[in-house]
Amino acid sequence: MNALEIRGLTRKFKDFTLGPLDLTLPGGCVLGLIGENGAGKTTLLRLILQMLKKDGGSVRVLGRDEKELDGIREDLGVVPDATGLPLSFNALEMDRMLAGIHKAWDEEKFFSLIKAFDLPEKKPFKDYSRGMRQKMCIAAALSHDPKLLLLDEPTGGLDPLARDQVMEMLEDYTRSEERSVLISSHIVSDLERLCDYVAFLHKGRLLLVEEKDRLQEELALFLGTAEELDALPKGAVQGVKHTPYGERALVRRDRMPEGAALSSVGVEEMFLLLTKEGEKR
Amino acid sequence: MKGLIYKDVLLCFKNMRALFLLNIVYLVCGVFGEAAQFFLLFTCVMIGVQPMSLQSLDESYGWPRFAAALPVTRAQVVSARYLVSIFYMVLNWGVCVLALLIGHSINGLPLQIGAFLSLAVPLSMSVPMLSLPILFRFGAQRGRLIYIVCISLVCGVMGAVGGVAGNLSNVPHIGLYWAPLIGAALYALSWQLSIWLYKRREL
Repeated sequence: MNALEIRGLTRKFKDFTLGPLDLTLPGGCVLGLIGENGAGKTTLLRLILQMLKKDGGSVRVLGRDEKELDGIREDLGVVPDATGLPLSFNALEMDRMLAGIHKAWDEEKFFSLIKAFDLPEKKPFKDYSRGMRQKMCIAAALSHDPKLLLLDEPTGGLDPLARDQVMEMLEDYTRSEERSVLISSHIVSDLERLCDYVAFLHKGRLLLVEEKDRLQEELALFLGTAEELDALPKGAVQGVKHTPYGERALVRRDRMPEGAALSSVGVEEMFLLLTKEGEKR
Repeated sequence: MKGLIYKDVLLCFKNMRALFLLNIVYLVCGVFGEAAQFFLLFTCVMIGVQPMSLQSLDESYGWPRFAAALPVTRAQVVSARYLVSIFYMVLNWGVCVLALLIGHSINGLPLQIGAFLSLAVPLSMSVPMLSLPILFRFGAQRGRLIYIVCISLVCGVMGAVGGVAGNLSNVPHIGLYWAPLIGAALYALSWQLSIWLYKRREL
């Protein structure tokens, strides 16, 4: 079963249109949504959760259509963009509140995560740093055994050590084949570490959705002069960046002449080069 | 739902302490002062304002979106607010009645509990009844204007029945005894309207 199936999803605003988007997150997988600020990552998550109304298309979550979403919210763990924690509450009160909301609330797990994150139990959230609040949200999202995690910039505001800790927790969470994650971020190194699939969202449109490993097999980096670049076969070049030292091009390996000097390319550079190409078009 | 009620009760208690303290001052004035009922009625208005304050507070830290991601329906979010408001209103009416009894036994003030409640109930309910549907639909920022309108209306009503402040025995009892029932009916209507409007709001 797919954890998420999005078909032709569209939402129009005055000065921005998201979609139409087609996106599938297979069950048991992690999909990283990469995009610049304002690309539509948060809007997409809000549409999935029906915080916003769509103008077209369909969204199926854990095999259920939109009308049945309320029935499966118990299986979702969400870390929203603005944390939303009642600032006068502390961890103990948060636990009592969420225990009254989630049927499968696991108090023991919640407090073990609080301890692992080194969060004070009696300090009100208003005295927490931004990173601490973010950790609290992550602990809350993980403590009712959700089948699908929807995370909007979960590591934003965290220091490298805390980011590493969160990544480890998410890696641990995804060991079970029943659990899936949609995670949006512009910290691409985090996504590179965690994701099975990557989706590039740029100015409201999906540039690509692909398995990360396959993407790295199919695409490569070509370094050369402008003349060498012009000589490449049509359809080989996916994106180019002009630098003082020459051209950096994202190319399809299968379209390149034999023996061409190629190097492997990271997800971050792929995104940068693809969006450059998008701008050229 | 239980968790939402817990959150609202606690949040109200933690953040409205100044309001509660002010109400205690008014209650004391109600017991020992000359215009006893006026001060007691004023506590009802103050209590009626707290759901609106909670709504603003919630929105200031992004609670609506956080709640929209939890396994609760929007109807439950709205209902929790209305139920907790009733809880604090009933608590306040109880304390006011106690103040009236104390005032009667200490100062020999006239004991007019029925007449007092016939004004206190609709008065307490009027601000949340009018403001919550608009706040649930448009949010606290845009709802501020409504706040001002509500307060003006409530003050107008209090002014219109100004004589009441001096002596409740002047109030036409038969007509006023219907007021709590009408207030409760309108409160229930406002509750349903808020649910309907909040379901249509984008978060």
